[in-house]
Amino acid sequence: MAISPSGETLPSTTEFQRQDKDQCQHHTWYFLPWHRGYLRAFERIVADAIAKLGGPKGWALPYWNYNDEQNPNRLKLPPAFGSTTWPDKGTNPLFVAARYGHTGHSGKPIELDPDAVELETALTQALFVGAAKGGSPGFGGRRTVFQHAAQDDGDEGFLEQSPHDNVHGDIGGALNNVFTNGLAQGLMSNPTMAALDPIFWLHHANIDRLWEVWLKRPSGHVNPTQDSAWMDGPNGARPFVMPEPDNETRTTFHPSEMLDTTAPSLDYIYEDVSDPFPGAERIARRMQRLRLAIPPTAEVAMAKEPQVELLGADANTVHLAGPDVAARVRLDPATSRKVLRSFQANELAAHNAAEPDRIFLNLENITGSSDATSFKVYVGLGPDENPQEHPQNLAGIVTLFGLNEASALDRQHDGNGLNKVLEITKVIDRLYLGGLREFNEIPLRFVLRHGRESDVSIGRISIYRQGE
Amino acid sequence: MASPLRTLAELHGTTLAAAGLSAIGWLGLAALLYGSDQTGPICSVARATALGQTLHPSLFVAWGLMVLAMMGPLLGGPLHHLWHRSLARHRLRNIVLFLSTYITVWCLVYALFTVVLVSIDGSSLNTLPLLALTIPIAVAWQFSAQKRAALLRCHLRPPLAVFGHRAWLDPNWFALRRAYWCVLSCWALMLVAFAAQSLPLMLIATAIITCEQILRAPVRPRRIAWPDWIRRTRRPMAQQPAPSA
Repeated sequence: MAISPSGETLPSTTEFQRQDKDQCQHHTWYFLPWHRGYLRAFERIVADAIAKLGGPKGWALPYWNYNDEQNPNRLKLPPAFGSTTWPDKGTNPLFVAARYGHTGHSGKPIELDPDAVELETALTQALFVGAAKGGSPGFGGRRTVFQHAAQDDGDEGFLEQSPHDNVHGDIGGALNNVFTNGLAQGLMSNPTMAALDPIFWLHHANIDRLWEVWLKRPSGHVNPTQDSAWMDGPNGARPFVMPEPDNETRTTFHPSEMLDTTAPSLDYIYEDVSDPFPGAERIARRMQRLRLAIPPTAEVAMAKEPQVELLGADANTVHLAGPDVAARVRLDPATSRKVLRSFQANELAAHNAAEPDRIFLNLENITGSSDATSFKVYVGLGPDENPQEHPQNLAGIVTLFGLNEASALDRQHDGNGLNKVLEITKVIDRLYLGGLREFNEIPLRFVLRHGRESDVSIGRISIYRQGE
Repeated sequence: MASPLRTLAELHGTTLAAAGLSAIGWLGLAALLYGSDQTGPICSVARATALGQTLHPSLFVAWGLMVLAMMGPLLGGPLHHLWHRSLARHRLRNIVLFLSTYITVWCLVYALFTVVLVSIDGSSLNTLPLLALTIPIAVAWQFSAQKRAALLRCHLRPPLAVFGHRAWLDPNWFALRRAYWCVLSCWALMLVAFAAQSLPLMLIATAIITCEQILRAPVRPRRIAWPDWIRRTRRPMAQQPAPSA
């Protein structure tokens, strides 16, 4: 199969077919450690090539910090990647035409949407591993076995969702609104081909850096090092294995080897691991917003396994058949009352009150073929309201990176499509503060950013509560 | 490298519940086999001479146990789906609806097996001619593209409605679809186990079926020395993805 417009094909070697192909981990708690192993292998290969060409030793992979508030150009594709030529007028290998899909390079530099690189949701998650299905997927994803693409019970952690997926989609699809086949999409929007775009490596180096930022936040964030299924993983049918610079040797690795970046096997540090949200944890921020007593310690709230419960759902398939699609999710009255009681109990308690329920929107069984499709989800907006006038109702951006594979039915994919989880607690809090005391249904709006209209459908929209 | 056994270690509560259902099935079957009548069949029609005798209602209990025993290990995924995608107060109800429909479909298949096998050899099941007939059928089915396609579809998890009549119908509809693909995927192995009426053979068939679910690929005899005339006439298999390392 050709993987680029120039007819380039995937390697046919046994090593590639048996060990390398379809190995990347998504929608799983292995997402971060596997990609760190991938970055390490790539860095070693490039560093080896540079040294052999007489260049300096110890080359290190740079990162694209699109969250650097000090840099006014932070959202623009780094110029070295967007120019077709080198300063000496030679061809620039960092520029790939396939990045831009079938419409080609318009000359206009790619610029990310500030909402697409939203970080607060991910970095303020206290736990690495997600809760039960329907609830928070955590910073790093839900517990799974080896998982190449969305399957069964896995879910993306919040970091994988934003900014990871959104940046993939914005680079691979922002300039194109109509896709006719896989090759017509920009490289970055397709999980199988994304790494053929050199910007992939700088994007993932930044995701890797954000893992370090999360760990260094002064709030006791930790990796699931007590869990041998993660440390010694992956559980499942395949190991993690990477090529060495000689392109013959293959080395297996486990997440436990990917934790200390200063260890000799990794040997790097990031220049900037500063905390973009200093001094405020998610619970503290929320309780301040609700004008409620802050629990004595966040750990108290985290110590118990949270209870996750379906609050309501709409199982009528929603087709994203236009640029702006409205939907409504009916809620179960009995379960809604539990949510309200969790708010009221906190109001009545002077001290030691638990955090009110958190609320999560699940978009289940999303199927289609355009990986670069991306839309904004607004909560609490009726069909007559203009979403642009209500940015406070924005629950988040959903980019369907991996949609095509997840909708396929083969050995690696179960055909159930993608499942996306958005935390909508903030919007619910605001509605509660605005006087809402009865939740019967929640209106939603899906506003297309880019992708192919009429191509995507959502099998079920559901809402879950997560509390004690 | 992690093994399928380590995969099994990644158990959800619902997977454990499915394993529990399977254990109940096996205990029930063992009780039937080794209970009061040592020579009694597990769930078949030994020495049956008439169709009415063949399909005696009491056999459905034994067949239900056989479904639980052999298919139980595969039900962790569906139970997980039903549990987490249902309102808390509907979870058990939906699981009961699902299991009832799923087991009923398989019992109907067993009834069909019984009628077919008895019509071939009415004296008894567990005979060499029946095994000689069913084992090659099972091996051939393991190599078919239809088997592989059905196996992959066993992982489909449809959206479940929460309100109205659909909330009652959807678990049944899910069970019907799941049972359809399970039957299509496993019928040949089940036929052998059914014809043999042997607990060890049922255990082997269950192990194969469970491995297939985990690996998402049919368990097939390797390096079969196909005669040349078969090799020439065999159609190429449907295109497969890269084998797992």
